[in-house]
Amino acid sequence: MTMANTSISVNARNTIPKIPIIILGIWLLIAIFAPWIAPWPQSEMVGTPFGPLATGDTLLGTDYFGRDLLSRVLYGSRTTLSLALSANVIASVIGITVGFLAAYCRGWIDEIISRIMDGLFSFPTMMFALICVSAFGSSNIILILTVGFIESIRVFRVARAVAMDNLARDYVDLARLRGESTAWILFREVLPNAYPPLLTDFGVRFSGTVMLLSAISFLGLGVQPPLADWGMMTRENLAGLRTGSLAPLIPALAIFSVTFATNQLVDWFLKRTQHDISSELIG
Amino acid sequence: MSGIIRFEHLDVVASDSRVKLVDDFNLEVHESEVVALIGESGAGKSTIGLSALGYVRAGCRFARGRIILGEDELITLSRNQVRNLRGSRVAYVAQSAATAFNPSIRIINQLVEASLTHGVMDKKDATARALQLAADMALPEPERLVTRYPHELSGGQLQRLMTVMALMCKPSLLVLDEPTTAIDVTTQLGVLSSLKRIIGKERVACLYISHDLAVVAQMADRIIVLRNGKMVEAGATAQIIRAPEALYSRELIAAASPQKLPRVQPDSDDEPPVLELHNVDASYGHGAGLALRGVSMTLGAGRCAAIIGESGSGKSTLARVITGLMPSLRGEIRFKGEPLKGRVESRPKRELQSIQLVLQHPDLALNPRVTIGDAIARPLELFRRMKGRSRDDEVTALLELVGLPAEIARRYPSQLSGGQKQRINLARALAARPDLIICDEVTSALDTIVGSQVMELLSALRQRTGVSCIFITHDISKAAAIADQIYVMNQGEVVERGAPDQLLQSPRHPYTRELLRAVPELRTNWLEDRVVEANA
Repeated sequence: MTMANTSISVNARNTIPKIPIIILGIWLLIAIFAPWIAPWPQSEMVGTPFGPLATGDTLLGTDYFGRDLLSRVLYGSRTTLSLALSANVIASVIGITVGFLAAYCRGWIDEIISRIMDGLFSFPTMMFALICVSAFGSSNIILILTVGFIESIRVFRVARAVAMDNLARDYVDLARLRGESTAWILFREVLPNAYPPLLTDFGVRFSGTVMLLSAISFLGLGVQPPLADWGMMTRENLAGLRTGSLAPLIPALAIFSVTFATNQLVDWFLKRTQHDISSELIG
Repeated sequence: MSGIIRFEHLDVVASDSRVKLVDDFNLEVHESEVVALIGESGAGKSTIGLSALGYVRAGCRFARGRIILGEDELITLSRNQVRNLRGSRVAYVAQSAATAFNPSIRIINQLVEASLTHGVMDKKDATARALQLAADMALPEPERLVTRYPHELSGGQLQRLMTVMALMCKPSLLVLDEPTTAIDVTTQLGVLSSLKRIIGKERVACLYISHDLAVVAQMADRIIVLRNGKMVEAGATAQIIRAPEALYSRELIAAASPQKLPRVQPDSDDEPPVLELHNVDASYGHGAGLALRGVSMTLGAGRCAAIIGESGSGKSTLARVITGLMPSLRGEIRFKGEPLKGRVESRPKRELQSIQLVLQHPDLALNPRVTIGDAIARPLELFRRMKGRSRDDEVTALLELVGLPAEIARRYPSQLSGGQKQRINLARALAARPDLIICDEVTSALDTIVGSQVMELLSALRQRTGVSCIFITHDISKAAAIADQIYVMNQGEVVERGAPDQLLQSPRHPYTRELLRAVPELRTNWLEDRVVEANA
């Protein structure tokens, strides 16, 4: 049994999963072309509040304000995906950089960074977000930065632990012996091997980011009405549940579909890399 | 006389790839007989050993054949029936006793557990038997020892206690899976002799799994040579050792006793020494004690020095101190007459280039996400400022130098075997055109035959490039095969140095003598001779 054979056959069986790619692809297209495909503008009242499905011009009914729900979901994809994605990316960039640096420097630098992060970590998330947003004003940029920073504290912990583990590997010692720079060691030697846990974290965090954003929006400090946002739509239409309206469920389903697809994609990636690693161990 | 266990046409396959891990294996083990299964990694010896307990690893299954233990056919038994057999009629001793014991339960409770579970005896009898067996295994003060926790005992003691645990229920068959591979040679001698004595006393049949021919020669009545799941040769121990018939057995025996590799004559002896150490001390931190204690050595240009010692002797620490991965505490290190800076970060590029390190585990030394070609090209770019075509050509040339085809450059480490990876590590070290190459246990993670090929390659490379070499190993025969000078290390100190012949023939330091005495020789009755010597 040769190594080459096993790893090739494993890769062949592990083709990229179609369903999550299709889901994410469709949402991406919708986000780009929302103004052209949406039947109504997102803030126009077109019917009575909580109108039923498939009546007249409103395919998915109307929301608590009588606005077309389908149009709002389509428009909402722009806000939600861009906000959640940007916040998540910012969280990863800050968390990974600081976490890697702490792991690499060790000693007192690590000690100081870690204690600050522990302090921030112990702060209630929501309160922290509200303080930031009310202090700096509520714009989308501030929202992204705030959520990104809050989530980066969680990324930091994962990134630091992963980097600690990877920095103890022999090939890192050999890179030091070649006189490689700190940046090379962290981003060329350590980062590629740290992807699997960091990407899982990214995928899992996505739904958390959407939720946090919607919570802030619900309190009126996040996405400003009449702009549509899935999280906010779920919350603002909650009252409809009592009268049997599906209005809060539809944006929730949209959030679910994106979270599901992201996690499926991450799972696939993880399985693929785990196979690589386990075949290394056998070798 | 009927056999204790009988394998008939046994096939074990990996479920997902239909690869046969064990292919048509037949064997009958008789009462109080020790049968050794030897072979390199992937030979299927552990799979056979585990199958004697009716067990296959996850992802594998019995595809064909029968295993008959006494009256029972193991493969057809239910899970509960098999569980009743394990520990009571057939028991297993694993390679690493240190990880096999539960760290949070006292030894004695782990020893008696199986006999209580199987209802073989009550706690009083079980404790008495455990203490008796522990005394038979030559453990000091068994009554006190068994009340401790695993972390309070040494590796050798745990390995002995593991054997005690296996023998508790008076099994008819004992499966010993590399029982002394994880322990040092000086400890191994004691474990082997008490193991041999207790096997005779308890009259238990054994399947002894090992890759070490010299050890097997002491323990076994019969030897089965395995390769890729197939039986290559079977015969009495003396016959296999002295007159192996199959080509593969002959290769194995040859690789187990390394021949002297050709000496490399340096151009002239007038050149200043490449490396000098004067009274170097090193420590892993405040209050950790000294890992190196007053180490001095001199390495002439083009020469090869071997450092031998057991685990914890400080031999790998020495490599880390010379390379600057770990700064020394005191003392002076000179490279070509110039003092070397302590930390690798403060050394100039020229010095980094001149000293290259090759490490023990070929998988860990290569970044799994970097292709072979990029790994070898990096030192070329850094140290020799090569780019584009000329760099790629040099990568090909280096691959050729270590006997690998050029297309391997596009592969990732996971697609290579251990021996190939170690060749890549040598090629990468040579890419810098170093003056000194430090090899830290470069063959100990490899199979015997592959390891001896890497040794030959290293010798040939020294001949072609004239590079000086520090060869760190625990294996005295390998050190003697390649080195001009041997340094013996014990507890951070160099206790003796000398030319290989002089050191092997007339060792002066007591520790060197003990070490040499403990290295198993590839002949029968070596162990008996040692025991007689010790008693005299």
